[in-house]
Formats: sequence, structure tokens, C-alpha cells
Amino acid sequence: MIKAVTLLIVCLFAAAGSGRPVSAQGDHAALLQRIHDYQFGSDPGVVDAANQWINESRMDPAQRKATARALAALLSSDASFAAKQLVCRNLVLIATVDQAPALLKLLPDKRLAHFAMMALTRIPGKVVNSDLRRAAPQTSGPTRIEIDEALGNRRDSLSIPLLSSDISSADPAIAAAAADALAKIGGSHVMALITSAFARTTGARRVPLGAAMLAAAAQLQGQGDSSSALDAYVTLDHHPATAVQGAAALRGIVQIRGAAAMPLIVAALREDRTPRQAMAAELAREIPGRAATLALSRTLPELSERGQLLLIAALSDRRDPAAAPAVIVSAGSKNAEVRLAALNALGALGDTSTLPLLLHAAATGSAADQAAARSSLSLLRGAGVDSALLAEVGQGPLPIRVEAINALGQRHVSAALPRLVSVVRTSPPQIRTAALTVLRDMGQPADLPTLVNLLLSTPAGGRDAEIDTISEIARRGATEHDRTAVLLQRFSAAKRPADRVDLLTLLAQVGGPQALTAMRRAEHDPSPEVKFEALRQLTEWPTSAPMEDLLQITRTTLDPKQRTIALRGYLRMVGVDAQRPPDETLALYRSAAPMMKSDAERRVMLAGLAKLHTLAALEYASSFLKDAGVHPEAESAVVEIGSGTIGAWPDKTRTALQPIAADNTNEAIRKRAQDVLAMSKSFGDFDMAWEVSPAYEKNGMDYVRLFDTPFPPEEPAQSAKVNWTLMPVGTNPAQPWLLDLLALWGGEERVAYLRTAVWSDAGRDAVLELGSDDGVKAWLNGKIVLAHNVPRAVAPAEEKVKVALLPGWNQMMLKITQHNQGWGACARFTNTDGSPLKGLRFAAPSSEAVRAQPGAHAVLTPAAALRPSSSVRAPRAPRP
Amino acid sequence: MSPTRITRRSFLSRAAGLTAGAIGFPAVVPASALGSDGHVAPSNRIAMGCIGVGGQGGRHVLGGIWTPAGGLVSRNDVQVVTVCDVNSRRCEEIRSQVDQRYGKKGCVGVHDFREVLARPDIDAILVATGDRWYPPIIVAAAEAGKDAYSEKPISLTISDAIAMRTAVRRYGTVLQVGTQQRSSGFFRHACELVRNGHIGEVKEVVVGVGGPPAFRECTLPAQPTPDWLDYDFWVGPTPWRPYNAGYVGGWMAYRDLSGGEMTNWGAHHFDIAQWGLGMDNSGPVEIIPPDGKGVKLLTYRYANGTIMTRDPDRLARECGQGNGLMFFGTKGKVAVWRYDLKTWPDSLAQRPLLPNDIHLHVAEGENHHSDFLNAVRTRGRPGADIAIGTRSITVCHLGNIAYDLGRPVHWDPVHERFVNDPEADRLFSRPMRGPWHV
Repeated sequence: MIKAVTLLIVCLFAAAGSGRPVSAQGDHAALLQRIHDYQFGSDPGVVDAANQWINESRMDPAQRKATARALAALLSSDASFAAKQLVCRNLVLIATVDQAPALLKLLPDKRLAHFAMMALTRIPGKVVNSDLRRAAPQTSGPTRIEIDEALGNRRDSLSIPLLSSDISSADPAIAAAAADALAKIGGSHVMALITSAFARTTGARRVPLGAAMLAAAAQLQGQGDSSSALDAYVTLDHHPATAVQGAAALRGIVQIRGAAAMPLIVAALREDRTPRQAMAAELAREIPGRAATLALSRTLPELSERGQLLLIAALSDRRDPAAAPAVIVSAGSKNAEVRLAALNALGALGDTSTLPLLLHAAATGSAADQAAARSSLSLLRGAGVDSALLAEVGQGPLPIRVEAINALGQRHVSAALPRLVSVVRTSPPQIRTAALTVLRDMGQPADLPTLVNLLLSTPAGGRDAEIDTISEIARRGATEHDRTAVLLQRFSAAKRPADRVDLLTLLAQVGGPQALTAMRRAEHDPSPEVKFEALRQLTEWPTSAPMEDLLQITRTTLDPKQRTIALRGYLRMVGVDAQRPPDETLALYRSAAPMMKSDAERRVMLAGLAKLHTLAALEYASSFLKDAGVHPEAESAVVEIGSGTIGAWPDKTRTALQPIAADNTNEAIRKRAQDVLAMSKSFGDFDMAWEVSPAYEKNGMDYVRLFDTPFPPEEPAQSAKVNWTLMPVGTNPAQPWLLDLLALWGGEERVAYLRTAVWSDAGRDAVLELGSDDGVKAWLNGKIVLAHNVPRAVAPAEEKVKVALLPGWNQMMLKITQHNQGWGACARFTNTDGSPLKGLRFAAPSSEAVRAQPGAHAVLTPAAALRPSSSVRAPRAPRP
Repeated sequence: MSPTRITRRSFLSRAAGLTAGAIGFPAVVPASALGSDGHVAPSNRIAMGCIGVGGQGGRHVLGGIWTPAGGLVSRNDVQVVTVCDVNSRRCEEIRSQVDQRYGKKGCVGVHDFREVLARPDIDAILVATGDRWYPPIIVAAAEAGKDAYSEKPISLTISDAIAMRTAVRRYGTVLQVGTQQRSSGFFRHACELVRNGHIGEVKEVVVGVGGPPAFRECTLPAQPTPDWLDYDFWVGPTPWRPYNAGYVGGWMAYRDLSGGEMTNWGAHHFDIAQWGLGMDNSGPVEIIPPDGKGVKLLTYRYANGTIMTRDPDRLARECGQGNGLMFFGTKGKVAVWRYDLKTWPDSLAQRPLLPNDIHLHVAEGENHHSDFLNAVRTRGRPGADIAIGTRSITVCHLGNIAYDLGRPVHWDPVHERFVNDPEADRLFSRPMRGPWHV
């Protein structure tokens, strides 16, 4: 048979007179043979080859004709379903009437008929229409529906008799398709046929006929035959098959009659909870003209609550100010919902004249009314609104003035700033506060000199609001100079200690190196007030930059109060730098211990210590448990540290926590210890002893591309410099096994690495069960065992990979990509039959236990070993 | 018209059942009408049926990535009364979780979307079935008077999207396309900066949609069809081929079932490009695919001369993000991606929107579900209305057609058809497998 097919193909090419070289024909003969032999899954390459052939053929009419003919010949061969459907697909762009006979022969085949129609419907011209009409009577069911639809889509008026017959088909699906097809052909004759059928039909079978009437009427309307269309709409309006079709008919009537149909819209607006009312609400937005606005507005008071709400929303969307008077009346409604809708609508409809009403509602209304009125005040359009609001600032009741100021802020009226500064100087507290809030929101660094003057002219002790305002504005400066120059200059010039203290406070709130320098200098200020404020601000500096300053003051000052403040600030600051390795931080705490002379200072230290999730920190915190003065704080620190170490050092952590879980000193701490211990039991056989890398990003790369972009943990030359820290565990009680990178690092389009050590007392085969959100790449003892670039949520055992564990410590590393939202992983090992694997131990790779034991296998491997294994899968498209 | 209606309360109190009667439209319940405890009586909630509750559909119902927080079941103004899926396992799983979340039984699982549309108590539907199913379901929903939230991409062809728009408008229903970037403040802000002229005249838009230009045909080998899946129904209007789990789990990789990344992410980012350009009722006039020579990128040209290219690499170079878009104007630039935007000059981002500026659609709480439900209540247009969605998906399909033909195509955005191009016309629509049609 193969030879016969080849011969047939060669003959076809010769007959087509393609003029192609013999060798090329030979290539295509081989391709045609592959297509003939194609089965799903057997030769995926044939699809691309066929596509390429079609694309090459399309450009040359002769080749195109020859290719179509050669392909169509396969349809008459003994080729499989897979082959013939592939042929039909490839004929979509190149088939002509010459291929129609071969395609038509497939219509009786229920599986191939659709593929034949894929190609037939793309062939232009009336010949195919005729072919389809002739073929239709020999078909039924889905194929008949496809033919009817095709004839309708091709606007084949000669198929009207066939389709008219089909609308009476015993098969309701065919009848519906025929009605739909007739409507697509359209015309007054078709409309008469459908209308007649509609009139003599009852029950559910009227529904598709009604839909066809609507479609045909729309087409008539588009062609200018509004009269026939209107007849159909009126028929459906009076005798709808469904309420929804009645509403659609109303739409058609209104579109044709325009404003003359307003009474119908008004009537429909009264028909509560019906499709006609909903349609009327939509039409109330669409019908054009001021007269329509006024007519609708007049209706408003006569409607039910529901009708009013719908109409107010529609009037708002019309944005025609002519509706404002009616909506203003509604804004005084006793019905809260109507009033609220009206207040909201006035933002789109109102103008200067609406201001008094809105200001009054914003000042005195219910919380919902106030929110709506304020929103509308911010949106009112028109040139006079801003100046009218400005005028309100200086007159009338205080609440109204406050609302006017707020509205100016919401509207970003920068021209109002001088007036607001003036108001701050002279007005009662409510006005002053409102004005400062607006100044804070709108002020720019260029306004700083004026505002600092304002600050210094305010009596000392009552400047907090001014300080907040000025610092907020100063922080908007693009450069440090913009942010601090005015403040530094005024600080240097200020003489009164109270002024200097406030300017120092401002500088501290703005921050930056220049401000820090000023703070350090002020430490030597002759004024004790200024000196104290400088120290206070140093202790609260947001970075650890003044740490050494504070240590120095602690060591050198003779003032016990200063010493205490400086030491506490230092101890707090030791914990500020999250980038410092925890061992170094612990060493700083230990070195400060001799300086700590009070329980209060030890408490500060223990609060910082609690954030260090290391075994050494756990042991150091435990050493304070015997100190009665800080016993509760020590317990608290041990429990907090333990919550982090319970995964990596479960035994030692449990030993530390169990006495606290049984202690009656503090109920909350005892409960927390019990929770941590209980949580550790829910880890089951999941590996919870992990260290985590920092999160990595690369400019512009999404998670798909980051997946194969190496970062330091997988780069042998850089891996030693990675700052690995202990991975927090048990952060989500619902998913105790989850290594939650989102909670730890947050962010999007980035990656992080996790590493663990797995002890096996003997070499053994096992199954590594992994879950990840999103993609995961896994190395075991330096070799990639899994790579799946995928967006997904995490679940246990999404991946199951057979692995070989070596005797001793096995090193495993995961790379987890983050697209957005959730980010994390989970891992455990089972026997190859899926049963629990006993006898494994897990540890953090940098722990003493792993480092001390021989047989710890390399984490990383030369680049050659990074080749994907058989478990590597291609990325799948995400669904955003 | 004198409908005999079954009250929603009585309908909700018993399980499902198909009952004849007219369609009731939802009560107008402004958010403020919630009681002090935020509770809304079940009879005043918008009753929803959720069709297609696989990955994205399930997340819409229960909450999860790429959907508003908490999902529909966590809303006080919605009652999910039925879920529908041809995957019986998935259907039951989601149905059961809905009942759990509500703390009572009542949600019904069904197999056939037509059962959902026939229920008179259902006000609105969520559809997350996959691109192939949206046109027939949305058209049928419009004919049944159901408002709909439809996931994107809304169609496999330009023709089908237009058919959806026609049906939605004809029957006056609400349709929100699931392009949730339309409800995001970042995207709105970026587009408002552009529309208000703050970057001057827009000369160019670079759109960061990655992924391959074309996807594979369905070539996977046949596998036994699982008993929990009605595979024929799953295939629906698309060409049938033997079952393989790869189709069901990865349908976006196959052009029979999806437009690939051009429509997947393109439905989002080209949509925002159209928004920023003020082209929601229009589109490009020429689409030029890469030709291996001078043209390196898929390029769109609008009638006003604005050029839009598909170039995630350039976007990454320009703004550090490859998945978003960037407008280039004569006086500045705006780049925007999910959750942030960047402007040149920097100060542009701080420029306030003044009352007399162009204000684009604001979604309540930047929540795409809320925006849809607000439109259901007020009968207004949601931010991602079907007319907008149709134009945006047309841009994506035009790109795919240009790729497929390997040559430029000219488009008439007024009449929504190709200009003298019989070959491109062949790709304007696809016949649906019977009995499905629109």
C-alpha cells in the first residue's frame, strides 16, 4: 500500500504540473507518506513538516494548487483518522473548490465530518454552498447543524428553503441552528418565514425562533429597513417567548423610535425586578439628548426605590448636568439608599451650585453619606468649584470649613497653599489640623522655608502636627540636599533650645548622612536639652549606623542616665541589621553582657536574642533562665528561638522547651511553648531542617527565565559566599510542612534556594517527594534530579523522583522560583514502594553535626552535571 | 408579561431543580446596605452559578492566586448556589468546599452548563472553562438573561468575540471579562497619565508578552479516558481528538484550544495598551510579523501612526520588568506591570489626577469581582466590558494571524474585517464542532 500511495502522489504532482524539481517532489512524496502513516503520538515532527510545506506552497499559486491536490488525495486513501484530520487542518488555508469533492465525502463520517467542514467553510464561492446544500439531506445531528450554520454564515440565500424545512426538524437542536442560520442570511423574506414559524410554534421551541427574529430584525435595522425590524420587535414585545426576549425587543423599539419611545422606557423602569426594568436602565444611559435627560429626571420621584436607584445610576452615567436638580431632590430622600446613590451621582452631575448641599452632607451626614459627599466633592467639575471652595474656608460653621479644606486637598488645589498656611496661623484647632493635613499631602520641598517659619512661629510644645507635616514634605525631596538643606540651615541659625530640639527632631525624621552628622555634633551641644534630644534620636535611628557612637557613649559618659539610654539604644541597634550573620550578632550581645548592669538592659538584649534562630542563641538564652530578674523574658526568648530551631535541631529544642511548657510562671509563654512542641509533631516525616539563601532577582527576568539563570548557590565560584540562614518552619498551622518563602522574603519574580543534609545509615534507593510554589529544581549530592519550570500552588508530593541516597550525609539543594503570591516548598522521602522511609535524619548543612561527620557529599557539581535528567519537564503556560 | 416567579429564598432553601418561570434580576443592594455586621440576607444576595471550576475557576470560587482575595464564597453579597464541571471529581470537590465555607449544605453540583442557565433563581454566572467554551456559553447566558463574569481569553477567534458582544448587547446583560488589570490602580494610573497627555504624544508602546508565537497541534497519543471526565463535553466546540491527560492538564499549549501566550498574557497587556491609547473602540490598522530580515518583532501600527511592538526583552531593558508594558511619548514615558509603575521623569508618577482630567473607570476596592457585581446591581458597564474585551482579544488574534500567515495583514477597525485579504479571512472564524454554534 505504501508504494501505491507514493505512486499516487507522484502522479498527482505530475498532473498538477507544478514545475517543482523532481527531488523536491520526492521530498514531499516522503512527507505525504509520513502523513498517510501518521497516528496520534507516532510522529510529532510530521505536523511541523506539513505546516512548513503549506507555508512554502501558499506563496506560489501553482504549488499551492498541487499541494492541495496531493493532500486531498490522501482523504480518499486508507489513511487513518489521525492522518485525515491532519490533512483537513492543512487544507484550511489552501483548499479550493477542487478539493471540495474529497472533503464532502467525509461528511458521513461522524468523526471526520467536522474536520471536513473546517476546510470546506474556508473555501470561498457559491460552488461550495451548492455542494453543502446537496450534502445536507444525507446528514443528521451535529453534522447537519454544522452545515446549516455554515450556510447561514456564508449568507447563502439559496439555502433558505432547506433551512426553512429544518426549523421544523424533529431534532430541536437542528431546528435552533436552522433558525439561527436563517437569521444570519436575513432579509424581509426570511423575517416573514421566521415570524410565521414563531406564530405557529408553542413552548420551548419558540425560544430559538424568537432569538432568530431578534437577530434578523437587527440585521434589517442595519440595512435601513427599520419598518420591518420594528414590526418584529413589536411582535416580540407583545408576545415574547421569554421575558429576556421581550426586553431585547424593547431595546430594538427604542433604538428605532428614539425619544418617541421614552414612555416605554419609563413604563419599564416601573416593572420592578424584571429584565425589562434592567434593559430600561441600560437604555436610560444610551438614549441621547438633553430632552431625554429631562424626561427621565421627571420620572425619578415616581419610581419605586429600586427604580430610583437604577435611574440615578443611569443618570450619573449620562453625565448630563440637566439631571442635577432631580438628583439633588433625591439627595434629600428619607430613604438612605436613594439618598446615598444621589450623593454619589452628584459628583458627576453637580457644579458650584451643588457645593452647599455636598458640604453640608459631608459635615453632618451619616458615615455613608459623608463618604459619598466627600467623594463627590473631590470629583465635581467646572472652573468655579475650586475658588468657591476656597471662599468657604474662611466663613461659616467650622465643620463646613473643615470639609471645604479637605475637599481642596482631595482636589489637589495647589493654589490654595498660601491660604492654608495663613489659616494654620490664625484658626481654631479643627481648622488648623485640617489645613496641616492638606499641606502635608500637597506641599513640596520648595514650600519648606515657609513651613519652617510657620513651625518656629508656633508656641513650643504644640508643634507636633507641624513637625509631622514638614517631615513628610521634606522626605519628598529628590536629593538629600532637597530634603535637608533648609532644615540644616535653620538648625544652625536657631538660637532657642526649644527650636533646636524641634529642628533636630525634624532632621531625625527625614534622616540621611547629613542629618546623622548634625545629630552627632548636637551630642556635644552646650544645651542639655539639645544634647539629650540628639542622644535620643541616635538611639532610635532607623539603621545601625550610630551603633559605634552609642557604644562609645556607653563606655565614656559619666552621666548614668545617658549611659543607660545609650546602652539600651546600642542593644536595640545590634538587632536592627538583619543582614549580619546571626553568629556575629550573638557575639555582639555576648560582648555587651559585662556592661549590662540592670535587668531592664538584659531584657532588651533578650528581646533581640529571641530573633536569632541558632542553636548557640538557644543555649545562650537558656543560660538566663536561672536569673530570677529576667526569667519570663528568658523563657520567652527561648520559646521564640525554639520556634525557629525546632525543625533543624528538634531534640535539643524540645529539651529546652519542655520545662517551659510545664512551667506555670506565665500562661502565654507556656501556651506558646506547648504550641511549638505540638507543631513539631505535625511535621510528620517531612524534612524541616533547612537553610535558606537570600532571594535573588535579575533585571527584568520573570520566573520562567529565572529558572535556568544560575545564582551564587549554584555557581561553584560564588557558593561559599552565600549567606545561608536557618529557614523558619511551622509558620502556617494549616500547612505545617510548608517552607514558606513568601512569609520570609516576600516579593515576586525571584528565586531562593533551600538546602538540607540527609543522613542515611546505608546506601539506598528512595523516592523524593517534593511540592513547590512555583517551579523547582533539585540537586542531590550535586546532581540535578528534578527540574520543573511551572507556576502552581504548593502541595505535598506534586513531584515524585526516584533517587539514590548515599551512606552518611547527603546534601540536597532546591531552587524555588516565585511568580507571584504564594512561594514555598515541602519535601520528604519514602521507600520506592511509597511506604514511609525510616532511619533518615535531617540537619542544617552548616550544623556542627554535618560538618563534623565524614561523608558529607558536595552540594554543587561541575556544570556538566547540570544537564537535565529524565525528570526534567518543559514549562507550561501560566494562566494569569 | 405576567411572570410566575419562584422567590429566590424558597429556591435557595431547597436544592436544585429546573423550574419554568421568568428570569428575575438581582435586587439592587449597594455595599452600604450591608448590615452593621456586614451580613446580607440570602434573599438579597446575587445568586451565582460557577461554570468550570478547575484551577482558575476554583480559585474564583474559593480564593487563590490571580483572583480577588477570598473568592466569591467569602463575599457577603454573593451566594454560590451551583457549581458546574464536566470533571465530576473537581465538581464535587469544589461543591463540597463551598458548603464547608458556608457552613451548610445547599450548593449543587451539575455537569451541564445548560442546567445552570435554566435555573430561574440564578442571577449571574462565572465562566472559567477555557477559551473554547466562552462564546457558546456566554451567548446562551445572554439569551437566558444571565449576567456573566467570563475568564479570558474570551475566544479562539475574532468572529466569536464579536458574536459574544452582539448577544450581550442585544439582551442587555452585563459581562465582565476576567482581565483584572482593568481594576488595578497601577494600570489605571498609568493609562490616566498617558490619556491626560502627561507624556506628550504617544509614539510607541512596547508590550511585554513572552512565550512562543505558536503552539503545537494536538499530537499526543491516545490514552484511556478517565471515568470522572466527560471528555466529549470537555472538547466541546473544538475538533475532537483522542483523550490524553496532557490536553486536559495543559490545554493552553494547543492552538485548537488556546491562542497561546499571545492571548493568555496578551489579553491583559494588549488590553492595557488599548486602554492607554484610547483605542477601546478601535484597533490597529496593520499588523506586521517578524520576517527574519528587517522586522524583528511583531509590530502593530495604528491609524494615527502609533507603533506597538511585542518585545519583552526591550521592556526588561527599559524598566527592569519584562512582563508588562511601556508607553513612549514625546515628553515622557510610563512603564507599568502588575503591582507597580515607573515614569520618566520620576515626578510624573506623583502628578495628581485633577477633577477636570480624563478619569478612567474605577473599580470598587480595585476588586474585579466587586466591579462586576456593582454593574450587575446598577446595570452599568463594568470596567472590562465585553465591547472592550472584544477589541482587546482582536488585537491578540490579529497578532496570531499575522504570525500564522508570515506576512503583514491590514485591518479595518471600523468595520472589524481584513482589508482585501481572502487568505486572512479564512482565519477570521473557525467552525464549531456540532452541535455547538453561536
